[in-house]
Amino acid sequence: MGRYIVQRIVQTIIVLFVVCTVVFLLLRAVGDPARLLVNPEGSKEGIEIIRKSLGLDLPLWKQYVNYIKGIVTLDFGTSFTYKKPVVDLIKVHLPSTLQLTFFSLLIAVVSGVTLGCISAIKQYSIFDNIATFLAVFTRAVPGFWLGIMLILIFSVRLNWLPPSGYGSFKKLIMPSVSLALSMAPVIARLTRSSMLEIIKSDYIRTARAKGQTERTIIMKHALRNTLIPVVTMVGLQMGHLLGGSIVIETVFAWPGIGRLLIESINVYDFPVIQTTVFMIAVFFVLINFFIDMLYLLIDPRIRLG
Amino acid sequence: MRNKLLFIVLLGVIFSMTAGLVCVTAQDEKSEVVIAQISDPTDLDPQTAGGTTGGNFVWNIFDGLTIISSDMSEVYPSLATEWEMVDDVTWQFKLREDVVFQNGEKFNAEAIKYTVDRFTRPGTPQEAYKFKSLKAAEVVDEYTVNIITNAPDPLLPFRAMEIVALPPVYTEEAGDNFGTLPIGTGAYKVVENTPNQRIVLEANENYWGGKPDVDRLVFIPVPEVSTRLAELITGNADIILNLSPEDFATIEGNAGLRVETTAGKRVIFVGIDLLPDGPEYLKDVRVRQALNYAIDKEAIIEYLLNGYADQLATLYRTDFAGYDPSIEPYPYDPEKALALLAEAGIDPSDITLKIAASEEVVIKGGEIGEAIASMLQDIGINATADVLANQQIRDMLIGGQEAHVNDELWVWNWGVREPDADSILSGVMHNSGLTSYVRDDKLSEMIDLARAEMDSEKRAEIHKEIQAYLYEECPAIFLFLAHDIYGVNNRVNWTPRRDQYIIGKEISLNK
Repeated sequence: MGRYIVQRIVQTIIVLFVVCTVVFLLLRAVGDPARLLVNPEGSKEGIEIIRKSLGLDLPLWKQYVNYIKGIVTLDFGTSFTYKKPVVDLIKVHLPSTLQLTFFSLLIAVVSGVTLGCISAIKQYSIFDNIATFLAVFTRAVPGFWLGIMLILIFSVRLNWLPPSGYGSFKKLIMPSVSLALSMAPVIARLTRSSMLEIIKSDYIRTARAKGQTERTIIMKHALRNTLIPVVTMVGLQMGHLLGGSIVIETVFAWPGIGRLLIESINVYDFPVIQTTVFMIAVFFVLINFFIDMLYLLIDPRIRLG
Repeated sequence: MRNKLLFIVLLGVIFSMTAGLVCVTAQDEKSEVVIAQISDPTDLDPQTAGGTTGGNFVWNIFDGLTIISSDMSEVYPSLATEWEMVDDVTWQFKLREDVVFQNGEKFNAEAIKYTVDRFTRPGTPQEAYKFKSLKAAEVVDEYTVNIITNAPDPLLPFRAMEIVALPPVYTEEAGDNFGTLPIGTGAYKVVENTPNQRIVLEANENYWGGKPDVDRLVFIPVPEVSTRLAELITGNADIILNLSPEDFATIEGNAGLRVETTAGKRVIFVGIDLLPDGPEYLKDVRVRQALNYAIDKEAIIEYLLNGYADQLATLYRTDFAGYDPSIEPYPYDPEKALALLAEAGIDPSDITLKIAASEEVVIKGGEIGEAIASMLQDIGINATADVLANQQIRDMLIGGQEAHVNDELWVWNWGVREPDADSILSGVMHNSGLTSYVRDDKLSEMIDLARAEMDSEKRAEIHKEIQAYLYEECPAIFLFLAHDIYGVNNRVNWTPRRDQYIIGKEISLNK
């Protein structure tokens, strides 16, 4: 176990290092922030002054060394446009993204697993067919479109929920539902097939033979094994959730990391882009680690190492 | 057992995450107007905050020495009560004596001197951003200040709107933080500034111009246009910005809402690459004239912009000094365009043009670029539209002359507050302009002449000459003046300003 953790940490560091380097180089290849910051009425000297004040006049390797040094000492620099430490910006934007992702994860897992189980138990029933249709539909529809449709129905027509913004539970509902809707069907389909396989296995037959109620069999014996592939899938899908939240945050004006990233890309705010992508990578790695640990809880037979 | 534990931990996490959301904000009696715009300014420091989103805050929190009328035609007193030209480069401003900053600091000539010094500090980015002609300020007495310019600047009273008074003590104390929670003399003070979430301004009880009607202005950034419309329709937002003509129908179908439009400040045109190492065929004036004849501007205005634009003959707005109404826009005449190309001895199929355009630079920019490409294809030119993101097109064109990797044509715009062509000409037509791909010594000379001419009649004459020259030489494809479109809730009394700024003291509520 100890060795496993050390291994994982080394892997993590390598992954993060590669991410940082690629982002750094890509940004430098893409464009020049000074040109976006200069007033069009300004002069060429103006561009130089800005470049200098942002440290972009330094040779590339020096910028890179400074950047890596910064990450190691947890100093992520100062935003070009907000003129405050990037860490402060992340602090303001991270909680809302965490809320959004966790809440939509909750919706996706609960609805996905429930629908998947019912579909499996009542295979080929009307319910199963409807669930299948819904799964295909919500998976096929792009999240931002779904978001706009939700706004049209629940805000504009019914006036139940505020269209966008942050700061109340009501405002959290639509963004998390539209984010969850891209993930729930995947979970539902996987739960269904996994459950179908398991309820045909020998130990379930044995349980039935013991005369246990169907409810106990499903909840106690089948579900736990069904969840192993589902948990893996959830881990993989978290990346989609983070990616999807960038779009959803824009549609619902949700003040999260995704919005911060988009706004910074619009002005080539290098320190903010670099740090945001870094944070998302850290997030992703942590979630995967967490999922691995979760296996141990769900299936005591699994040994890591 | 372990299962239950995990479940409880998870529940705990979720509750703690959402707990902050459930509490309801207390309602109070204050009147409030909510304004939804496409994005927040990242910085509220008036000397660096750029663009219109920044301007929406600058003239609420601060006051300039002067302010221009909402149709941009006149200059009114603001912090200065009167001004006069002492000599070609010196303007004397008399200041109001009853003004204090929102933190109690005293407003006087020293504060203006501090502001101008901060503007012109060498080596700081501020110097590079705005106000090239500003050189220094001299305190004459407690409430009199001289503003000195680098060169004669006949438009200084207009530009003095940009000299917004900063409180010297607080600004120094706050340092970089000044842009987050600035303090000015204005009708509104900043009470909350949460990036990408909201900026809240509250009425300044002690405002020298009297307390404004609306107690609180809330600016929310809503990037997606359909969401902004939903905010307006549901009554959450009172004024929404950055709309396109096709959003008209959505708003007008709703009782209690209205559309407000105004002729804007932005001149839309197509820039042409005329650098010495640019494409040869574009150097022939007949080709450039042909391009102007080949574009059906009326169709673009009617079909893409639902009529919300005014054709322009050159780069001159009708309110610019020396505007010459006798010059008519190039008519749509593809035959004439072909004849001109034939005269120049150039086969249209030998001409290849890429047209850079962006939705974020010009409303409907992408579609306008595509329309222009197809109109040029109609006369046989190999034209393609190159639709780019805002940052891509700006990175390509602003100061990109040395790299010279730009497309041959680009749909561009220039907005300026002053009723004068100097800004646009210096920016995109003068040899030294940051976005100018024109290299024409004669034109540059005329622009320099007009800029320094302090006699308004003589200046108007030079501008007439420049217009005739532009019209003849076609260093751009001339298009139109864009209109601005806003969605407004009828409970709000407000008409848009031509300079696009939302100024809180101009808003009142229907009781």
